[in-house]
Order: sequence, then C-alpha cells, then structure tokens
Amino acid sequence: MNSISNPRVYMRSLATRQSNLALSKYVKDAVDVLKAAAYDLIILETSGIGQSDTEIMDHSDLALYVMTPEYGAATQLEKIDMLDFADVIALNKFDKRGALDALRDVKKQFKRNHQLWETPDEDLPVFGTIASQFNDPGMNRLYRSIIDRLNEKVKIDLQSHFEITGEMSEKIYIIPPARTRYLSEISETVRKYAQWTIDQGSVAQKLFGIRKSIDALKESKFEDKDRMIKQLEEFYLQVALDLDGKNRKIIEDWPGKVQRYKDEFYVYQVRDKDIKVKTYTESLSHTHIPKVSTPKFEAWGEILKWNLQENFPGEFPYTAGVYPFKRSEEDPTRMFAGEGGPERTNRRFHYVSKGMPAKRLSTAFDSVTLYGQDPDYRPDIYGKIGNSGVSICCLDDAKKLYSGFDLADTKTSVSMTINGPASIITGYFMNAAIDQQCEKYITEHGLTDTVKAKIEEIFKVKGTKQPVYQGPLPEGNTGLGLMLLGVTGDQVLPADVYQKIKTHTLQVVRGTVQADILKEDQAQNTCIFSTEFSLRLMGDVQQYFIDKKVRNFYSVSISGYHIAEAGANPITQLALTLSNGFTYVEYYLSRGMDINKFAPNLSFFFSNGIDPEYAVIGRVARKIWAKAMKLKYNADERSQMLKYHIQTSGRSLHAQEIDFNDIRTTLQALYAIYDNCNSLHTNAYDEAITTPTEESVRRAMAIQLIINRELGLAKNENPTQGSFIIEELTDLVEEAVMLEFDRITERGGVLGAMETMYQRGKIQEESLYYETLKHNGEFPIIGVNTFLSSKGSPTVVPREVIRATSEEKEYQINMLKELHTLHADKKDELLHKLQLSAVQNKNLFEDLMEAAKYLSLGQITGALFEVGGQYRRNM
Amino acid sequence: MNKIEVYHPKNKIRIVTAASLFDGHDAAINIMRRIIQASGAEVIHLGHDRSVLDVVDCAIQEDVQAIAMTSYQGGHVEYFKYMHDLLKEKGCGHIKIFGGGGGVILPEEIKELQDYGIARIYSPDDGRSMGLQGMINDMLQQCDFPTGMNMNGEVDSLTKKNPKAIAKLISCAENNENEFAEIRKKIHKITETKSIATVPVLGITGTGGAGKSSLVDELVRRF
Repeated sequence: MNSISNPRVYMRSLATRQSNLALSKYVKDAVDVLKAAAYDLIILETSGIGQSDTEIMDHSDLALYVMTPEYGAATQLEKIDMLDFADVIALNKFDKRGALDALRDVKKQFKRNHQLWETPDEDLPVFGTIASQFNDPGMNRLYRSIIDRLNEKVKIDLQSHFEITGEMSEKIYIIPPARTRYLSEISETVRKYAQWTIDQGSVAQKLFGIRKSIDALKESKFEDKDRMIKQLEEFYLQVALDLDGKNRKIIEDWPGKVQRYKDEFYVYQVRDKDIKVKTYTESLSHTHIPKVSTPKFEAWGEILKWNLQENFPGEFPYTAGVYPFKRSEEDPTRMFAGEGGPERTNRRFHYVSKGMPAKRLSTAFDSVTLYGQDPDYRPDIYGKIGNSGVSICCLDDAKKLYSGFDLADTKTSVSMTINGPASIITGYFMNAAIDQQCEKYITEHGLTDTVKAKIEEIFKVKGTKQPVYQGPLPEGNTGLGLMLLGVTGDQVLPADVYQKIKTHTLQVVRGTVQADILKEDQAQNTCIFSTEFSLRLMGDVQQYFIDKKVRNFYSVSISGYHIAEAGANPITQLALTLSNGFTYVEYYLSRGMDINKFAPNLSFFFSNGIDPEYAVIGRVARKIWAKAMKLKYNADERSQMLKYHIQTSGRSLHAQEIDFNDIRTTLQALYAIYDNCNSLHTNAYDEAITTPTEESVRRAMAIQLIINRELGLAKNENPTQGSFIIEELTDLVEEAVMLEFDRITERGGVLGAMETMYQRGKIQEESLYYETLKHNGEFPIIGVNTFLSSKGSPTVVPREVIRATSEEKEYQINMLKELHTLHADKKDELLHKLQLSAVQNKNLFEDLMEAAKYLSLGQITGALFEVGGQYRRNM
Repeated sequence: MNKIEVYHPKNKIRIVTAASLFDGHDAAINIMRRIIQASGAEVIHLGHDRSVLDVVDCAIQEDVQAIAMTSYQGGHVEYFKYMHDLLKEKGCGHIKIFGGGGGVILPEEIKELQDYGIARIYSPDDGRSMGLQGMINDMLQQCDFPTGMNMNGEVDSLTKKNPKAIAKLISCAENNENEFAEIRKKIHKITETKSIATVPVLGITGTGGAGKSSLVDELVRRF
C-alpha cells in the first residue's frame, strides 16, 4: 500500500485467531472504536480465504466484491454467494484473457440475482478494473460509484470531483498478447536447429563414407570395382541432394579455414578495417602456443556439426566467443569504486586505473541514489549517504565523479550500476560527458578567460558561488570536467557550437548503464517506479540512442548477477536472464524499433560461481542468443553477438577464513577467462565483511592480471573447445534453459510469470536448497563447514570499515540545497514539461536530458511518481 | 543440530517486520517472519524499503509489542536510533526494537545500539550459536507481555483520532474482555449520536489473489 502513509489514514489488521474464519470476532468492536473516533469512512477488508465471505455483510453498509475474470465457466458464478449480496462488483485484473466475456456473464448473473431485469447493462454496478495500472479509468468509475452509493444508502454527503469518462479499463500492453509465446518460439527454433544439425551431419557423414569407399575401391584390385564405383558415385549424387548448399561449402572450405589459424598472421575485418593478428605466442621453452587451436577432424559429419554448433571464435553461433581474437591492448579488467562523496570515489578511480592504458570504470552508487532520492538530514536517510556506494544526486556530482577521465576517449568506458533511476543518472552522465568536451573546446580555442568571466557573471547574478571539487586533485586527474561546474556548455558557448559538440559526444561516448528493471522485480528489489513505467523509460532511452546514434553505450546490462546472488543456481540465472533479455527485445520491437539498431546496445552481466555449469555459461548464452537473433528475428551479425560482463560470485565469499576467498575468486575468474567473457570484475576477499580496501582491491585485480599475463595456457584463446565435458555440459545447460523458457511461456511469458512471482519463488527455493546443504555439510565449503582451523574458523570481524564521513554527508546536503536555490526559477517549468511528456506518451529521455542540467535526482523522481505510479511491493 | 523447542508465548504477540529504507535485502526478514508466525505470533509484514516513519506509524496503529527489522545497506546506527527516538516521541517507548544485518553491523555498533535502548541486534555468531528458532524464541520471550490493559481514558480522547488510543482500544477489545465491557458501553453511547451513526462502512471481500489490497490502495488514494 502506497497511499496509507498519511495522517488521515489509520490501518489495523485483525488476526482471525481461529481457522476457517474470514473475519475476527472482534470486528464489531473495532469498527465501533473507529466510528467513535469519527473517521469519514471505514473500509473493512477480508482475508479472502473462501467464497462465502458473506459475514462481512453484517458489519458493512455497502459491500464490494472483488473478483477476477478467471473463475471458470459461467455456471460457476451461480455458486458465488457474494454476487447475491454485494452492492458493487469489481472485476479486477481486467487485462486477463476473457475479461469482456466475464464482464458480460457477471452482469447477467447480477441481474438474475438481484432481479434487475429492467436495468440497462451499463448501469449495473459491475466494473472492470485494473488496480495495478496508474489512473485506471475503470478504477475511477468504481470509486465514483461507491461514493454515490454510500451517499444514497447512509444518507451522507461525501463529495467526489472525479471526472468520469465512459471508457473501459484497457491494459496498455508491454508485450502484445499475440506475442506472449516468444520464449517457446525461441526454444522451438533452437531445437529445430539442433535437429537440423544432426540430420545434416549424418548426410555429410554418409557422403564422407561413400567418398572414402570410392577412394578405397579405386586403390583396390576388385574385378568389378568400376561398376561399384559408378554405382557409388550415383548414390553419392543422390545423397548429396540432401545436403544444404551452404553446408557443402563449409566442408569444402574447411582445410583453408583451418590453415588461416596456422599461418603466422590472421587477417580479418572489423567495420571495414583490416586487423592483422599474430596467430601464436612463444613460451620460454620456445614452443609456439596457438592463439586459436584447431580441431583435427577428417570426417565431414564431424566437421559440419562442429561448424554449426561450435565454430571458431567470432563465427556463428559464436559459442567460443564473439570476436576472432581478444583485443591485445585491453585486458577485460574493470576498475570498481563507489564510496562517500564523488570526490572520494574519483580519487579511488584514479588510484585503481593508474598506469592502465584503458580506463574501464565501474561505479557503485549509495542506496539513497539507487532509490532515486536526495541526501537529507532525516536520520534514516542521513546514515546511508555515501555508504556502500557513492552519493550522486545532480550533474555536478557526475562531473566531479568522472573528472580527469576523458569520457569521449575510446579507451575510457564507464559502467554504472543503477536501475530504478537509471535514465536520470544516464542523463547526468551524458551531460557531464558533453560538458567535458565543451571544456576541451573552450581550452583549445583560447576561450578560457572569456568563459570564466561569463561563469563569474552567472553566479554573481544569482548571488551564489560556483561549486568546486572538494580537496586536492589526485595524481592523474587533470581537472578535465571541472571548469563548468554549476553551469552547462550551452550557457557559455554559442548554440550551434554546443549542439555540434553534443551530437558528436553522444556518438562516441562509451559505457554501460545497468537499467535492468525486470531482474530488480525478480531478485534485487531496487524498483522505484512500476514495472510498466520503468520499461517505458528504458524504451525511451533506447529510442533516443537510436535517434542520436549512440552506438558505443549499452542502454541496458541484462543482469543475472543479482538473480544468482539472491540464490538462483547457474541454470536458473542464465534462463531468467536470457528470458528477460528477449522480453526487452519483444518490447522494443513492439515499439517499432529496428532490431539491428537496438540489439547491439544490449549487453549482459552474469555471476560466475564455483558450480560446474559456470564453465559454460558464456558459451550457452552466446549460442542461444545468436541462434534466436539470426533464425527467429532475422537480425544481422552485430546483433547476433552477445557480449557480457562477469563478476565473480559475491555469495561465494565467506566471512570465515577470508583469505581463502581469493582462491575461490581465482577459480571463478579462470572459468570466465577461459570462456572468453568480454569484461571481468574480480571481487576482493574482504567484501563479505566490509567495503574493500585499496590493498584487497589490488589483490583482486592481480588475480586477473596473473591469469591474463602470466598463466601460460591462457595465451590460448579457446582452451575449452574440444573438451568432451565442456561440450556435454554445453548441451545439458542449453536444453535446461530451453525447458525453463517453456515453463515461463506456460505462465504467460516473463511478465505473466512475474505477476504470480514465479521467478522470485524459484530463486528462493534454490537459495534454501543451497543453504540447507551448506548447513548440514553435504555441500563442502572449506574453512566454513569443513576443514576448520584449530580455532574453529570464527567469523572475521573487520578492523576498519570505510564509512562516509559526516563532513562528506554535510557537504552533499548543503551543495544540494544551493543547487535547489540556484535553479529554483527553472524547477516548475522543467518538471511540468516532464510530467506533460509522461502523460502524453512522448519520449521522456529528451526531457530528462534537459532536466538533468538543473534539477536533482529527488526532484525528478518525485515529479515522475506523480504521473508514473510508484512501485507497489508484491508480498 | 539439536532441535530447539519452540517457545509458546502466554500473551497474544503482534510484531511488525520490515527491511530498512533503501534496502532491498528481504531474504532474511522473509525467513524470520515466517518463523515468527509459525511460533504463534501475529506478523504485520511491510516488505522492503521502509522509512522509520512508515514502520513506527504502523507499529503504533497495530499496537504491536515489537518491531523486527533487517538492515543490510548501512546507516543502521542512525536508523535504529531514530526509530527508538520516534517511538518515544510518540509515547510508545514500550514497543521493543529487534534487528539484524549480518556482518554489516559491527560488534561495537551492536553494543552502542543496545546501550541506546534497542532490545537486541542479532549477529551472525548469535545465529550460529542460537539457531534461527533460538533467536526467535529469545525475541518472543522479551515480547511476552499483554497489550490493551490498564486503560486510562482512551475513549474520551477518541475524537482526536489519536492512533495510539485507537490502537489500544482495539487491543483491549481483542485481549481484555473484562475491561472492555465497560468501555463498550461508552463507545456505544458515542456511536449512537447522529453524526457518528452515519459513518459509512464499506465491506470488501473477494477471492484471494484478486488484487483486493491494490484495489483498496487505489480507493484510498482517490479518497
């Protein structure tokens, strides 16, 4: 309930304290107490345990019966007593199938029960409603009718000024009803492809057998060998008709294809550029270690099946990887930080990326930011400012956070772990990147003094001071991004120059925003808007990216990590994540976007734990995605490539014997690197007990560097290909995922399954299974439930815990206050425009980009709550 | 593992459960609230991301003996202290606060909070030594006191819509027929007056899962 936090409302639950009762026997007394307290209206709701809740009639003046269209056949309605007794009926969840028929039948039954033969259907007090939908017209009509009837029955005079329109409740569909089978269509596609591979493989194998027989016969001394050869040749031609032409070409080209990996250099094209890669490295023993090792198959069936289901990295179905070779200049290491105010996190970013050619910054936000609120003195907010993440609530915060990193440089990429308010934070980020480029333009064109004078003038007029970076700049921070604190490029540069810089910056900026709202509702709970509204915001961002040619920024990171952290096993993690991914695809398609324009903006994020299935999670994900994209959605090659980030499992870090955690992380990182993940984050060993320190973070990064730079076998880029167990696991996991897709389809697709909390229930069940086995020792964990030290491996208590200082918190709050004053004149207009766009279904991200220049996070979310419907918890 | 006996409370115990503000970690509280309920207490669960004011208001209106919270996202010292202060400020210092947050809450913070007046913060080591049921038993023992007793003029202040008074009266009706018999007469006298007699009661019923609560929420929002 969102509306009860109001001094006008008193809510009390009464336990029945007895089974088979819908109401407590103290109801009458409780109602009398409330009446005596002179409230305007008392609402009495039963627990809904049975159909005969008629008891409620004894206590109420007006009875409302709430049902759904899913009651079975029309004859079932005769058994519902409440249709006899209730004054008003709400047919809720009116978006369910058969709702219109249900409305007709319930009205018919109501007429019969109440002998209202003369009343026209539209005047009957039966309403279709979708209570979960914002400003639902059916709800409005129901409300008005209840008020009117109460006035009439109790002879009171409640006023309602609700404007009632004649329209019906109509579900605004995220996924069109005709498309809800999408997941099973994908599993059918994948299974059909597997069968086709087997069939074609056996045709090829047969042809190979015949060809080999012919060759053998030719060498033989059989008398009638010519006749046999002739017959076999004829048979060959006949069988060859069954082999797909493309598959014949695969077999013909095979020797040449293998040779390319054996030549000294391998040449391939990326976006029309030739890329030349040396095909081996040399070990200390002078052995040539091939970067991609090749199968030694001779038989055509084997060759064909391998090409169709495995293939070399960079080739469909991309099982072994999406690129032919790893990028040599870039380790997939992400540098993770987030604590205190933006300055502290900025210092950490510069510390962890020192000496690294590529700056891959990964940002954790504090929970105030994650829930879209502003810092405040209220103690329950205050304590959380800058803890377990950085406090970011406005554009200046974003500018300081990434200052000294050129956000338009191809070697910089930023990932932001934020979901509910993702679009707003993206707005801050994009504006920060644009203003950095404005700053560069200003310096390069010798405009620094003029601009500084302009800025001074702006603040003089407002009577405030320009905000500044708190404390000294860290080593490596050039100060880029700080010149325009408190202002934006368009205030100091000519409009055309600004526009040009903006257009260009958007096209080059590189990064990822998590923004995956589906997994939030399924596993992590940082939802702030209703799912529908959040999805719409995601779609608006993606549409904007398409329009402005934002190509190097992932609009969503479809995440299994939190699903796994909440307790799901690896198969469920993969299945739910991919199913969420395909849901975004279906939603964007239904909005009319071109798959080839948005699919490359999607990225994935998985957890790697210690279970065997994690050895193949990337392989299976890439394979399913590629097949669905190519065969079902007819998407191009770029769209077929699933790119993903791995973070080692946080749940596998234990608070006992914390030194052992690095060992677990190392093994998980090895799974990830052997599986060709596109980027990787290794957890610090002390994360189970505290925010990681600089020392522990350095060790975590060393894990990756040791594997990538020292470990000899990791010089080879397809080390798991050709392993029996890896291939078998790949098949098993793929089929398990397909079965899960079918189960979700049975529940109406991802959104349908979410309504009954299917995903949540499944994750909880699997979590409990793990905890049970961990508890009883069946699942061994070294130093936790077995191999305990002589002291019993007690829980480690951290020596120091990094918490935001009160100085940082105070600064954030005061800075925000000044920002609010500075832009007080713009606030109403900007927020009104935003709300209007929300109501009129316009692209909200356009307005958010503008609002982000002047307004704080809490101001923006507050305005959107009013028009978007806040998130309502499911329990 | 030895099976721990479930503590059977002598009084009707009511407990509000929730996860802290800006905190989505609800796995632990979900397990706890089920055990609390299975042990015979009445649980009012508010879910995750709950502000101190939300929880305190609910605790007062529901006239509970205790609040059980988890906090995994930091800021727990401020959160729990603020809750304690706010309860006191609203005259409900008798409502006990219990909490947990795994390793996030440090031992010295546990001490600080318990010294401040928080009934108990359970640590991971408590979990290991007491077991889940053991922790719940400990909590229920501390909550095993009656509510709705020793009424003191609550009826007279009813029209001020003081939630604490209303809550106490309803508890009295539920738990303490002896005292309520007299009070009932007074209340009936009030409800017979013309302006009160017409306070409308809207009864809502329906099948489980029909979305009644969402619907009520929407009705209240419009009202």
